[in-house]
Amino acid sequence: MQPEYAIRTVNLQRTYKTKERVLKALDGVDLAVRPGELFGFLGPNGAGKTTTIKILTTLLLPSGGTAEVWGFDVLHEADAVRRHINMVSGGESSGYGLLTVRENLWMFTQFHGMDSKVANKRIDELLEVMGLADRAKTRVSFLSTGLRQKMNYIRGLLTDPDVLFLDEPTLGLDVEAARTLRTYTRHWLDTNPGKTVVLTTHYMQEADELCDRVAIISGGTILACDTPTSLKYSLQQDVVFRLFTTPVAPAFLQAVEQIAGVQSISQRSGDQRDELSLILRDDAILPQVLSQLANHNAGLLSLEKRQPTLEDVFVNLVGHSLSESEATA
Amino acid sequence: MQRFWQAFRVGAWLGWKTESNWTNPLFYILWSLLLPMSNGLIMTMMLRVLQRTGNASGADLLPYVFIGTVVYSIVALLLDSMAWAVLEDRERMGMLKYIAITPSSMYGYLWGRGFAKVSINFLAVPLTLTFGALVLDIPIRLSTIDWPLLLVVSLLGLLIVTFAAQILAGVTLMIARHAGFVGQAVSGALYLFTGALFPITVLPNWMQVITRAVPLTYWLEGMRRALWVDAQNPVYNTGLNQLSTSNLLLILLGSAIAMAVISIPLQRRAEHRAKEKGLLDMNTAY
Ligand SMILES: Nc1ncnc2c1ncn2[C@@H]1O[C@H](COP(=O)(O)OP(=O)(O)O)[C@@H](O)[C@H]1O
Ligand SMILES: [Mg+2]
Repeated sequence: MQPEYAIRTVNLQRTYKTKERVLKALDGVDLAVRPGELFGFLGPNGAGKTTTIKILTTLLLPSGGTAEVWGFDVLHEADAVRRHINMVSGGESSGYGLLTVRENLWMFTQFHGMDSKVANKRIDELLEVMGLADRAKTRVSFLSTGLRQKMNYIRGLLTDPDVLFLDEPTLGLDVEAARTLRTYTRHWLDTNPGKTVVLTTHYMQEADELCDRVAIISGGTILACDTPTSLKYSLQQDVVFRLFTTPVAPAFLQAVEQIAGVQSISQRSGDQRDELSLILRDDAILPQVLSQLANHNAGLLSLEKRQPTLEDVFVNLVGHSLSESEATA
Repeated sequence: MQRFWQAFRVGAWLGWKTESNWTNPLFYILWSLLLPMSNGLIMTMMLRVLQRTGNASGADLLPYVFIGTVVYSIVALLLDSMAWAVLEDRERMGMLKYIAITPSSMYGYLWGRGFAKVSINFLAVPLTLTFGALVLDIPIRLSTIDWPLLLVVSLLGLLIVTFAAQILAGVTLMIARHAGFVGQAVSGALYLFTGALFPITVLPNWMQVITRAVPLTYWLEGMRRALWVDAQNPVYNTGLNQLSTSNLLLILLGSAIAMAVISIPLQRRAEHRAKEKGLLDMNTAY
């Protein structure tokens, strides 16, 4: 039986109190995810992605609002929620070092009361998929962080959850492994109708390529939530330029922001040159920007008009780029 | 209940897998003997020196000290085992959160880890007692052991320590940092306050009061009575010889029930607090 919503939150709040300060990590998050969706959370470090996942997986209590997973309240029906979920977080090297890969995985099937034979068969299949088959008998302490992460991903899928939470699952993985993981996640959803995946990422491209819908989150609030195409379509009336210039001063950026019709400008400083992303209402405004460049004694190295990306959507909503907000987070 | 046993089995399995990595049964026996035996020997030496230099009431306290120390070695292991499992899983392995999100029972799992710890080290107790009887002339004879009493007292005692261990695990779950000391500190303190090392009559008054309030004091006394015919002889001035064995059993039973009544809601409370504070996954440095 499928519930109407795989995930539903209303005005979800969470504050962290430390000795120095009280921090509002989530400030009124409303979500509605349908069974069968691959739902993405895109946001910089510190946006509140992990906090949301922790509340939805019953690891953390909300400070306010409600959250339901697979129709069950995370606060009052935590046990029921746990029967339907699993979770994998990336960028960590967890696992019992003295156990083999197979033993680590088998152990977790037993917490779910799975039949050993069924469990072992599934372990074999997934080890094969993730290219770990020859490591089944290797002690986990001998595995690299990347391989441990693959094992962890297998652990998440092993129990065939209705809702699978992937918290930055490709963080720290090499390109090849990250691709395998993405491809299989998509495949798993396509071959198991009704299964739901909630994935967090701060890689714009991952959200764009993989997710059915994306919520852009920053500072504990959801700024926009739609399919990647629709999100980008919201910028269709605008034009997006990428410029490489000699290093520019902050005064230049301020001057450009003053120009009418400039939606946003963001800067990524490189070696000897800056990369600027420019969102304009209209092509016709570009000359004004270029003349400001000259006024500030900076030179244009290259200029390219391109399709808007989710990154542009983020910049347009937040006012600065994903990587910039990470630097300040 | 089914969830409890499921989780118990996994916990016990994991404990055995990770803590008993001997390939050779000979190592196992040596390991089982070495630690409690060296403890027992140190105690014996100390006692002999003290008795030579200090007064001589004439009574040889060696059996008292020896049995107390050996039995206490199991107490120390079990008492710390669940708190240790919480710490290890949470901080070193990063796995506690993955266990917490399964629909299984955290108690069951922790009891399993505790059971593994005791069962791995259990052989040490009879082996060391045998060593004591044969080499140190401790008056433990197979023919004079009160087997039914031994069984009942052992079970009640282990139950009490298990619940105590669960309380310590709960406390550890609620503490963010430096939680490692909890189990150690308590098992260290109890060493003094259970009459394991010396009769409680040698303690100052206020310490005696505490010692008499600690259920484990009665457990050790019960074990001595089961193993050693002369345990209740007034010459040893243990301070407990007036207590009848049936009352001692009642105290143990009452304590076991009381510990259960305290520890079960406390564990639930601890899990709730940990979720409130976000302590189930602690690999981040806040
Ligand atoms: N246990 C905690 N104690 C205090 N502050 C925390 C804790 N966990 C997260 N935070 C803070 O809450 C905010 C959101 O964090 P998080 O949900 O981990 O973000 P994300 O996963 O998007 O990077 C951050 O500012 C972070 O510093
Ligand atoms: Mg995070």
